[in-house]
Amino acid sequence: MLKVSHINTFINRKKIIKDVSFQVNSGSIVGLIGPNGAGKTTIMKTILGLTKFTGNISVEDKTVTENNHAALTRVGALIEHPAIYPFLTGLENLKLYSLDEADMNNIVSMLKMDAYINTKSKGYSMGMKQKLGIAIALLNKPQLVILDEPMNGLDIEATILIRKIIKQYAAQGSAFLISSHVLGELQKVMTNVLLITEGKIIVDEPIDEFNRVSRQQYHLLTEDMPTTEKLFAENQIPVTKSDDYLVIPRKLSDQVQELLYSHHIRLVELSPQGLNFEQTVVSLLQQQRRQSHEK
Amino acid sequence: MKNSLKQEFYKFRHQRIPLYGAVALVVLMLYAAVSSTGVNRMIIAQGFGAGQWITIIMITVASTFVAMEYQNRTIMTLFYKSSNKSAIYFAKLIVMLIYGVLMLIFGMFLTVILKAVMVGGKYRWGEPYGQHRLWIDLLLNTTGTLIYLIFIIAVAFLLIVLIRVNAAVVGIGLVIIFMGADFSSLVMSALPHFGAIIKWNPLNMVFVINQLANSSYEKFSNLSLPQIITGNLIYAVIFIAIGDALFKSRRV
Repeated sequence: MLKVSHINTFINRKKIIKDVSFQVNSGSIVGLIGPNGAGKTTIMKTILGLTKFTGNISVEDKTVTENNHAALTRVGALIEHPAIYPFLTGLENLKLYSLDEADMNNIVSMLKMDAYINTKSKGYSMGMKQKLGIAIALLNKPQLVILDEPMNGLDIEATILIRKIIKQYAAQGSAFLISSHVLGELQKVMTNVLLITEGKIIVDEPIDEFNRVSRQQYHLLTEDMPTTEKLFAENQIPVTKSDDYLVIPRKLSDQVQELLYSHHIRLVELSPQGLNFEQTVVSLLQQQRRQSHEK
Repeated sequence: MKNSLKQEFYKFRHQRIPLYGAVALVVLMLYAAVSSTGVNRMIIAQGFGAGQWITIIMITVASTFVAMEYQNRTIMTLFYKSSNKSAIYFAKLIVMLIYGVLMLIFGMFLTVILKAVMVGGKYRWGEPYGQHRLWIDLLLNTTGTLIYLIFIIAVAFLLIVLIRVNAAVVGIGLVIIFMGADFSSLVMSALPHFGAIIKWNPLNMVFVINQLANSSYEKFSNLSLPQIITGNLIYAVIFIAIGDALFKSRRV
């Protein structure tokens, strides 16, 4: 569906996206996550041909360039803010882009917008505008939908509804690329994880695999934690902090025990831990930051 | 392009600004009719100042029509949904040109009504006076305004893409219309040796509004009729080309 190969995006001559490659397949819901300024929105804009870039982007094997968007005819997007004309009603905003009236009316009903769709959108609340923005993205049975923070301003009922609709569209074959700061929400829908930091993808895998790996961690406590940390740094053992503990990859547990033993540091606790999704993301970002810092 | 045109027309006809533009024209022409010491042949031939008023209205409407895309953050959706960015720019330009033509026709229609109300049959449309008959003078002044409108819409589009602040574009536009001709004449008289070059400056192009009907304006513009028409059109093409290039390349 969407193929992104070795893209580099420049803004004011600064490289924001660095050699990023990934794919989004039909029916998959890819969560694009990362800290503020990591490049999530820039990647989305690049896919939509809105920035200068090098590399290759294709949708259904048709190439997207900065000035040729023919490949994007069946792509819907909501980037940063809902793109709405306040002097038009909700329905008129939809009509502007709709190619199929039945599909448009169906989206309106599905998103439960019937009550206000014929009023001028300048009077809409933030949540109503957000729903309209999502409705615009879902018009014309898109093959690919790109949503940047889709749950912004939505109440709990609307959030559950959008989640349901995303899954429903994905089941019908649409592919989704979604970014969100609310990881818990994203976790409930996504099938794949793309973790980005400093313009680079550091994780690209199915959510099941990500969760499996995230459980393969140990919590470690010793009698002398400062010396332990120093020792691990000297021996390039990747660790992260979680409360009073150090988190180490399970596969390194034997090596760690030997190291502590040889340096006469007494082990207090070494226990397998299942990190939750957020903790795993934070842990990976910390590791990446430390590696970048060391370089 | 066809889709972009359809979208731009749809947006434009759902806005209030075209209506406000027409209302403003009525008010300003009425103001010109009642504030002048006496309605004379010249003010009728100039459509009660319609040319000048429409030019001002068009700067405001044209810059607003582009600026709204940045203000409402709809520019990104427009860009990615359009096969090429130039199609959007030219679709907007065509909508504005058509609106400009409609405003000119409306201005002529109002002139006929205002003349009938204010002076009745005192000046006859077919009566020869000076260089032309009255209706021909009105038509030539309207044609002159149309040529200048192409120029001024191109300027408004270029400026709004460049600075993205609607109020600033309207302000600059007003300065061009009201002070451009005086400033241009001042520079030409101050630097007579460079007159042959300075007469081609863009501020001088405003004289086309009157020069078509009244050849005596040539002594202000220092350009012959074919020269000033060509100058306006060439500047319009240059500004449109630069505006389009900027529109496509600016980050959204």
